[in-house]
Amino acid sequence: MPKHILIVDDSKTVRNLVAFIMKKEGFRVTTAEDGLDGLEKLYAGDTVDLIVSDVNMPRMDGFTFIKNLREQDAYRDIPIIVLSTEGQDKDIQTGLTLGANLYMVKPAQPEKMVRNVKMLLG
Amino acid sequence: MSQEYIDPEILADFFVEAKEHLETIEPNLLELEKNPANLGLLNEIFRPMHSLKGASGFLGLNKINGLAHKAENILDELRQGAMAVNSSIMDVILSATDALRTIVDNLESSGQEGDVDTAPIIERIESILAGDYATPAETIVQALDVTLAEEETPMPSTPSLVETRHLRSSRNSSCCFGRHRPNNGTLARPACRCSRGF
Repeated sequence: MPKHILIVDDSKTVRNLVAFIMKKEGFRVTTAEDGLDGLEKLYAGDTVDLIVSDVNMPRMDGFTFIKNLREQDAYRDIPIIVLSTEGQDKDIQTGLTLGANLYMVKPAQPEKMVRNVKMLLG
Repeated sequence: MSQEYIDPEILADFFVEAKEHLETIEPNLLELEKNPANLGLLNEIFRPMHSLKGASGFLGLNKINGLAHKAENILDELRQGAMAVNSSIMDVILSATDALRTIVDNLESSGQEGDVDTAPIIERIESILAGDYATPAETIVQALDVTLAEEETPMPSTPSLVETRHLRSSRNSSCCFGRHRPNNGTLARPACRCSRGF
């Protein structure tokens, strides 16, 4: 059974591109348009093994999304990679403090993304 | 981005997305000219510019990415209140948006970003970000709404600078935008005294 990745990004281009990259590696992918949509997909769908999330999104941003997840037992340990254009130290610090496992700055190299996803999935 | 990931379907998604972003940005920019203190409008412009930067960066569209990045920088300064909207800033953001639109259209029609020269726009934004903007305290006001009666109102102690406004279609980068004002400081719509003769 392929591992299942949830990609949360308000940019359809980025969502589809990351999905394309992950599918090429044999992962199963679900996409969401923002943090709220991400929560809904998590609550409604199959078990997700890893989340890749943007930060700056409408309705619910990535930091709120992560904070929300880490407050729930079911999602306390799910690996989360932040993928954001916000690359300042304070942004990275915030993301990691809230519970992200990795913080990647866009545009990330596909090979590096895949490597990090595989590393976090063990 | 490696070419193996540049799928035609993803590029097609990008064109749709980019045009949606520009269609959100453009009317909001024109509205911002009328309401320069409206933070909500700035956010409405910032977000699509930010998304355009992110998506283009992922696809290795460097010209779009570089210009959207700079435009985002200046929009961020505005929404954080670090600088106020003025005609110089509006002009450069509109120029950036026009150039982005042209590059996206070029890319869609020919597969190339084309020869749009973004360097002068980026240079201008950088110089504004570095503090070189004509009249930092100046705020665009709706000079077109200034009536003759208002023009004859006695001068307040610290009168706002009145700027004539140009419709976008008649925008002319060489124009002084009526920035010059009469020496007596009245609110009279200024007769421009710049060398261009506007």
